[in-house]
Amino acid sequence: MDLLDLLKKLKSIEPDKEFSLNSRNLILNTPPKVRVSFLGILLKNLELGAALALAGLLIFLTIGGFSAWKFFSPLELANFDATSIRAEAQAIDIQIKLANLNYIESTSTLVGGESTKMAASGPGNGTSPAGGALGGEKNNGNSSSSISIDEVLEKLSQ
Amino acid sequence: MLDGEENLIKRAIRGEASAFGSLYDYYQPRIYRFVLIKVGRREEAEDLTHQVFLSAWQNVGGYKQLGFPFSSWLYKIARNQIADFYRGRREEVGLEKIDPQYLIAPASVQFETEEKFEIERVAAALRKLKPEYQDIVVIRFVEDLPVKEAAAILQKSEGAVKLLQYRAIKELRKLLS
Repeated sequence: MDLLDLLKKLKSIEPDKEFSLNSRNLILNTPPKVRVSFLGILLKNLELGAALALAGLLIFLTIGGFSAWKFFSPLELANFDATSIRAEAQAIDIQIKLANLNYIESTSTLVGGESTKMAASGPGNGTSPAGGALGGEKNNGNSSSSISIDEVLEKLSQ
Repeated sequence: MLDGEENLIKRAIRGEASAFGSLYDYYQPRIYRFVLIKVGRREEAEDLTHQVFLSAWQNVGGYKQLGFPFSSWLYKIARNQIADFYRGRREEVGLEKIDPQYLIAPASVQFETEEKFEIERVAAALRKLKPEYQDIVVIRFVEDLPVKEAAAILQKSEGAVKLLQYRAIKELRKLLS
């Protein structure tokens, strides 16, 4: 028989089944060695440190650290300043009111002016004492303007 | 190469015993044959094979996949174990000392008496070769592994492996003649 064929026949050699099973069980029941490296230890410590730091921060914030945040934080958190926010809100409110006042004043002045023009171009076509009165009362406030309008309307209806 | 071997290796590295168990099932017969042909005694081959896989399991966490087959790592461990074994007890194994049950390990395999004698003679001659020649003959002609894988196992170039196998077979023929 050829040498290479004889060598190939050696491939039929197999381990004893019982030995294989026992050896397998023994090996797999042995815990694998844990490799200790400097980098591994460093990473593990960093991981532990970071976890502890985050847990501490969470506890601190939960207990009431949010109110103390502005004292410790290097950032200026103006949005959390309640007084400035309140003042700003009040200022906005006042501006709106003033704007409304101006609007009312200007509209009443306009109405007064239009009424005067209408009175002036009335049936008499002359200079009306009411018109003069109206012109004089242009800047005298709302109540006086309203009275003048009433008078003008009365005269027009006659 | 075993199907899904890369995944099994990754899982074994993470410490999954079942993944290493699959690798054991596939490679253990090969390593056992390699060891048995080199040491010649079944009990010693069993002990050494057990040591090889125990060492592999304990050190698999540090295994790095560098493109070489997993078998090359196991064969390397086996070669180191055998070298340690011979360093501990240097003893020539003569043909008369070979375990009579040497080739009867697989009960299913039956050889004719004459064939069995021939095989035992070849195995005995093999053990007389230099360890380097023994390795290449078992890897290339018994296990029938490709030259590339043999080169990875023996950490040699493919050209060096071809030259080595030529010399080993020539030496073996000389011993048998």
